[in-house]
Amino acid sequence: MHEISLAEDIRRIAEGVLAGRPFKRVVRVRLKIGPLSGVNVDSLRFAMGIVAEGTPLDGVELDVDCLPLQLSCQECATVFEPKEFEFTCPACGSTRIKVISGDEMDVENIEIEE
Amino acid sequence: MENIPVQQKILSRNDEIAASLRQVFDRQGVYVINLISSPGSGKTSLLERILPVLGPRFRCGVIEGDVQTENDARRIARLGFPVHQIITCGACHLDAQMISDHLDRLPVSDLDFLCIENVGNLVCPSSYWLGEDAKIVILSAAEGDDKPVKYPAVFRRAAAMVVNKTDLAQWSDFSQETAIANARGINPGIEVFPLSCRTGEGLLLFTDWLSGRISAKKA
Repeated sequence: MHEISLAEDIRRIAEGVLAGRPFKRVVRVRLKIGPLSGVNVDSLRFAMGIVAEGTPLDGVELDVDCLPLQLSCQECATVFEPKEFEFTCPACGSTRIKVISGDEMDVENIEIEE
Repeated sequence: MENIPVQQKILSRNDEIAASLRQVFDRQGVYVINLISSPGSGKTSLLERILPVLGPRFRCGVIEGDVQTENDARRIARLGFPVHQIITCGACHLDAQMISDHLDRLPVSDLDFLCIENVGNLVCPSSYWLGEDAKIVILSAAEGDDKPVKYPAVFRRAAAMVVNKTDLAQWSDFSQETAIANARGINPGIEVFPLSCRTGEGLLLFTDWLSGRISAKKA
């Protein structure tokens, strides 16, 4: 359950971005989360509700873009989305695989009401 | 409504602190591992086995992370190695700030090898870089051979997997071959060391591998 500390990090990033900027309320924080991040989005939403209480982020909505695991083969350049976490190229069987998306745990943008 | 672009990693602050820890470790020439596993798979037992082997050649130190108690630190201190216990009071992982706050409790400039034993957990610790050179994950025969598939992130990011409690495998349905195939499916380059902390079988291959890494960093 590290979602509480992630929520605290999201709050810290938002407070940094909003410092010195006039706004009525923070409406939405948009995140990108990949399946390799180990983040449980429901837990993160729950944690955010607690962590945001009494701060400028109180009542904020988390808009989470759950990215697929997308891999690319370094031998034959096939791009694929494995069903399981199988890092083997379905076309040529190579295990020289690069992660295109899957590791993400990013704050994309913040929407405010001015 | 206004949309403010941010594009920042949620863990960017942890990564910054970890990067400065890494600079300290590199400057001192100390090789650092982050030992991760579920509770009870043998992290402290592994240290109790490898430190006496590495001790005569390298100056070793340990940071212990636990939710509660100093039991693990006492086990390491008994062997005569410098150790510091971080009690996380509920937190399920160590982060770079905790390491930074406690680092002066160990004689880091006098060390060749620092082992950070993380809180027993296969999920959260995998996301937090502590400035280490390598993550090492332990999977024990008592846990089941499907763990790499269930917890892919940590197995993807680990440089090596120790398969512990091989002496118990014969009493369970655990298949070492399946466990290794599962781990390599996620991380084809992962080094694998089947061993038993109880009997000592297989330990030398692991300590040889570690010695090579520690020497390379020292040089």
